[in-house]
Amino acid sequence: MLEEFIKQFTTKTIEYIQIDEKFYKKNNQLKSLKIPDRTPVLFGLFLGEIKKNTFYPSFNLLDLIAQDTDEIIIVNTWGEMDFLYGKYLRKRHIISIKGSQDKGGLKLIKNQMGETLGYGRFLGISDIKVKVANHILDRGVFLKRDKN
Amino acid sequence: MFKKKYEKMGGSLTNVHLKRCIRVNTHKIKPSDLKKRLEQKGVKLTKIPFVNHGFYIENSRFNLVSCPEYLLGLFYIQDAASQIPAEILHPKKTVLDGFAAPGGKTTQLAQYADVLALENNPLRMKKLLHNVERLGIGNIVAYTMDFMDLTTSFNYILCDVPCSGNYMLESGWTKKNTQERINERSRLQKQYLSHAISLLKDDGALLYCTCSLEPEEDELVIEHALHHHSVCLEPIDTIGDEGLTTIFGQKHDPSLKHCRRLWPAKTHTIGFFMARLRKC
Repeated sequence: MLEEFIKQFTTKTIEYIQIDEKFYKKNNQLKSLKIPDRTPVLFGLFLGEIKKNTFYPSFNLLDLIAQDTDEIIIVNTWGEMDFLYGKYLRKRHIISIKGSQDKGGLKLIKNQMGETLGYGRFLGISDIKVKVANHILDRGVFLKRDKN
Repeated sequence: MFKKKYEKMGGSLTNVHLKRCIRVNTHKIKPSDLKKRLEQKGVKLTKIPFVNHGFYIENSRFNLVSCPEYLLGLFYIQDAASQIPAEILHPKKTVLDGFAAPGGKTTQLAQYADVLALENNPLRMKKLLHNVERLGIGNIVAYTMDFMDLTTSFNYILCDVPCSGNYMLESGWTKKNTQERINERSRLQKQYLSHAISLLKDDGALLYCTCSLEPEEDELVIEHALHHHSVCLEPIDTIGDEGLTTIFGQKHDPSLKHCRRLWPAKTHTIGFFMARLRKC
């Protein structure tokens, strides 16, 4: 499931290990920290997990994919705020749309500093709004997590 | 009870206005770049003089935990005092953090070495995992387990034990805490520290810290370790007072002066205590 997700953005592969339903970037250096007969809840760079047969990527995975994909929408400061706080991306806040222009594909959303804010499904450009199907995943989720 | 107790120790129960502090996540950004970036948004920062990557928030028109830079994991909200232990320990290669959640010191240790992080409470572990993901850190291995069940040895150990806290952290703290509660904490802390020393390699270093001002949880725990194990204290070069060597009118091990005790009224931090131990 991890590979299928990555393939939607790039042909590059990421070496990983799977522990139960969680995926981590392969890092042999961390082996010395493994405790025998116990299952870690974290084993290095967390890439995502499977819950109820659905793969949920982590922000670390999006950051890694971002290094090798053209499927990107770059937004300005206002677009960054809109995306992080759960609003549609408006056309006037978008600096560029790279990669495929086909509707339905996944796009990473980046700010002007090149930092990945999240991802969404590209639904095409209308005159009023670019609907990116926000909230598949955006970093605003950390606000909710902090409260819980 | 606490007012008189603290006055006898050369401290006080004075409330201090604490500035909020951040620690820069140097995995992602340089301190100077983050300062510039936040200042462009109207946040005024000044460097904390006694730590490497911390800033005081002097002024901000908005809550920093809701800004994109926080969500992007460029910094962690962390009191100035609690930024000191990881810098003092300064681990190389690998380090054990026995009481890791919510992850402020753990993620800071990861700036120096690969971290084995333990936390017994699953809910607190969840917070640690969220913080590690937000900061984008990839060299921490974590287990939900009791520190006392660990048998692996380490060269560097952070022993940031559960403590009764201090009056700067919680309103009504002095009413909630009793001598019995403090004594019970002290009993557990002695067990935790003894176990940590048993895991310490011969040439290793161990940093014990609490956010408690009670000598029962601080100097007296260290003295217990000095009497029961082959360890000695190393001086710590940072802010704060020397550790107490006379407690409640009784003289104690003179090397306890090498500990560091941070009284809020003197250091303008939360109350804090640190001791660095080595095998000898």
